[in-house]
Amino acid sequence: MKAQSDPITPDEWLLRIIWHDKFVSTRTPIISPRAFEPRGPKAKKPDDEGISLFRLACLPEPSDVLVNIAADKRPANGIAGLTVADLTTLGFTVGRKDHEPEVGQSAILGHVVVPELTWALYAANPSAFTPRLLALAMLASRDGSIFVRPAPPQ
Amino acid sequence: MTAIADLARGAAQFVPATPPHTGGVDGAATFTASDMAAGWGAAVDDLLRLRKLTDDWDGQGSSAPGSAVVDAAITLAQQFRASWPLPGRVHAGVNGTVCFEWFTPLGYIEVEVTAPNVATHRFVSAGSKEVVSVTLGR
Repeated sequence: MKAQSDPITPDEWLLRIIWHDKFVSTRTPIISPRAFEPRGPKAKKPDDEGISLFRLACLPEPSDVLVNIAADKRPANGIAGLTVADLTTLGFTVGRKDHEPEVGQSAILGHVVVPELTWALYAANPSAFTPRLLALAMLASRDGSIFVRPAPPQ
Repeated sequence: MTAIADLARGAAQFVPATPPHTGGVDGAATFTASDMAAGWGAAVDDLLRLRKLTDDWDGQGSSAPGSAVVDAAITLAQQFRASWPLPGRVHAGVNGTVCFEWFTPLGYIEVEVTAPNVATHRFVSAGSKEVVSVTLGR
């Protein structure tokens, strides 16, 4: 395992938590472009510094990124991955931003953000992001990019 | 005619009268009229489920769409079902919107309902890095 302080390398996998209706195994692509939409000011934690991903190399298990999600909602979230190189190819960068847990939550190792995907940048022209969100969805839908499949609520 | 029905009527300008993807969406076979009606019924059921969402519906703090936005999406769906193909996905966005998505051999189409009388239609043609977008409504 890598330490959070270790340099982020192009071959590293970055994990994204994705709600089940944006992660449908019977669809092509499996992942919706909307899985990478930044959250805005009405959200509990707006993506002011960029959307969140987690470095697989810093985690004992991929599913560790789900630890702070309420138990009744946790199974309905899946996990897909992108490599750092995937992101840089599309013109994105990745920055370390250590996770700041809320009271009663656990810190998750390996938290990073994509500073080109903040709410403010996105909200200024959402349509301009559509092609790159689509490209992210296609990459996250590849064989080998799926780490945890969600279980839709019954 | 409601504002959102006007939206749907406006949206029809941006897709061919004949569904562009028949036989091609998500690799599915050609749809019959009854298949399409049944499929759209399921899409409306999905939308009705979105009405029950509350803030933090995904456990990641996302805001829920308001009932007026969901109702507008249902009205759009009822208009779409006459000639539009089945959407590949219908879901809530993380910022209180409702999205319809189509993946076709021609490209990616989405319609995002952002307010009770506003929707944005976006199209990215296959292999393109450009988007064509039109905001419907006021």
